[in-house]
Amino acid sequence: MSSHREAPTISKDPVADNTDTYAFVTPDDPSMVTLITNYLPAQAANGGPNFYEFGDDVLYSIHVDNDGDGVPDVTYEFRFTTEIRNDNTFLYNVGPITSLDDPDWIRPQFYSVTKVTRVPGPGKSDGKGKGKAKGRRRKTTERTVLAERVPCPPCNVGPRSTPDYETLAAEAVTALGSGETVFAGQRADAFFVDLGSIFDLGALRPFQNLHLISMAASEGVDALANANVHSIAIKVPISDLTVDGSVPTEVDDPAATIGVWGAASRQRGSTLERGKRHAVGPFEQVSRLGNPLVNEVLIPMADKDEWNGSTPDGDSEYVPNVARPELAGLLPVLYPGVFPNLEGYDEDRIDLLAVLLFGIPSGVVSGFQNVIGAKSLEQVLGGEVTPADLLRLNVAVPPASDPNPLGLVAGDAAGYPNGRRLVDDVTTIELRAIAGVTIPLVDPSYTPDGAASVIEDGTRDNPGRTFLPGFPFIGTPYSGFDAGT
Amino acid sequence: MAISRRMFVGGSAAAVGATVAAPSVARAGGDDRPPTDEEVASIDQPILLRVIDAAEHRFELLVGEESVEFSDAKLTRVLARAAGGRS
Repeated sequence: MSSHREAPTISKDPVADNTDTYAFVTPDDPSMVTLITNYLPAQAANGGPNFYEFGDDVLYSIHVDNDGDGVPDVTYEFRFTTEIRNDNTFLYNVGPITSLDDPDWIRPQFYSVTKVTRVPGPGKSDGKGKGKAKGRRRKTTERTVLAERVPCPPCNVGPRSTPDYETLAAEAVTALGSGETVFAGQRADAFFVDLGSIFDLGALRPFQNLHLISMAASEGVDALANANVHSIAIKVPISDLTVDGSVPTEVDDPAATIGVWGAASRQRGSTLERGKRHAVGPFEQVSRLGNPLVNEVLIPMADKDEWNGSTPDGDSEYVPNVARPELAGLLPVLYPGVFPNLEGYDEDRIDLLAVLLFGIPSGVVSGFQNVIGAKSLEQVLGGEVTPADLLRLNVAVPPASDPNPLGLVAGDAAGYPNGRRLVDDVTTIELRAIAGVTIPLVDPSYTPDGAASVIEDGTRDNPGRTFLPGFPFIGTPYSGFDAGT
Repeated sequence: MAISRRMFVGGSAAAVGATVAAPSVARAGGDDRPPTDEEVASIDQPILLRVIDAAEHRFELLVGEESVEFSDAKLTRVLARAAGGRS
């Protein structure tokens, strides 16, 4: 999955598991950027009586780098508090929940929002990553509490317990006095992928007749078709995130691109007493996500936990995993005779490095760039850009009126890898990129295999996946009552 | 869709908008003033001791959301005997 249970340690800690990160210019208000991070993967909607909730002991963060060093310049932190309104019931609710302060809802959650801004000073990162810069960064940041006790909506239990769920959830959309709008709560997972097939030796059902272990081709099966997640969404004025406080309108403006990633952190120690855990000590990052599928597909199993504990400014360590991706070597083996040109290509994958770690410099895709600082291809190749797994969004590209799920590779510059929208089919985009369809952007002598531009897992067209017309955009969660019906 | 502006429901608005100092690592280190009664009373949660380097007698206390590093040769002796079953 994008980053659902993608590493051994975080797969055992779903509350802190950052599954997807989205960043896009807000369609109904292009002066704002919407940032969404998801946690708690693969929820069964009927998972009561202890329905899913954020971790009170987890620090959730959305980071933005606007000067290209892989260190956060603006961070929004979210901390949750759970209350129990009735000590004498085993139930999640003892009647219909008709408002966020309904006493029939036994276990409500609230959260605080804190903005952390890095201020100029001598304590910038030493570039070593791995969280070692954390202490130094702390000395040069300012923290501002934007809101406290912001309410979450309940989970979507069913028609008796949450009879008008959409209205209830809309009550939890909260405009802050500082200009941001926030939402945190259960949502339908926007990600789609055929897990059952892909992790069965890299099979893609629509093309599995060509697989080394051949079966009849069939339609893809979306493993997340009825799964919920917990989302944290924030809509922020663009001017709050750019390096110079501007709202760029030109794609080649050096301030136009920001880098976004989500993260979750836990305190370093914990004790267990009478069935309850108590966390203690400074926070340590346990999950992060910028581009989809990086830790999932490109980082070796032995390094995945360490990757989750590291910071983007140290991603130079992972350049070889991107430049020579294991999957690019597997495709010709799993699909004999289908990828002969890819099999014969023995160069570093500059195209993938650009998409995932550096940004796409000006001149590679006509009329587009998303390198932070608008650095040129020569500057990228000359080592002047810090390699960092960031979801790079050029905010000068206006939202598309008719988004193409294949994003930039289909000519829609408002889509992935220019940020990431909920509709973007990132699995297909990255699969085709790894298969070689993007190599000619940097190496015109290469001709992609015919299959590279058509392979997919076949899960894009799910009629059950819907999105909201306004913030937080990500769709209403599946109802527990309807699960499995 | 109706969007409400439910801010700060029942909460403390006093802290909202306030810029506060970032927590500092080892804040207690080098602060020799006696703790106030209120500070002593606040020590009501578990505190964990982590060994950084026993040979160098370097330790770390995890307290609240903080980390306090210190060195103590006597503590090394106590821990070494306890770990060796001769406490």
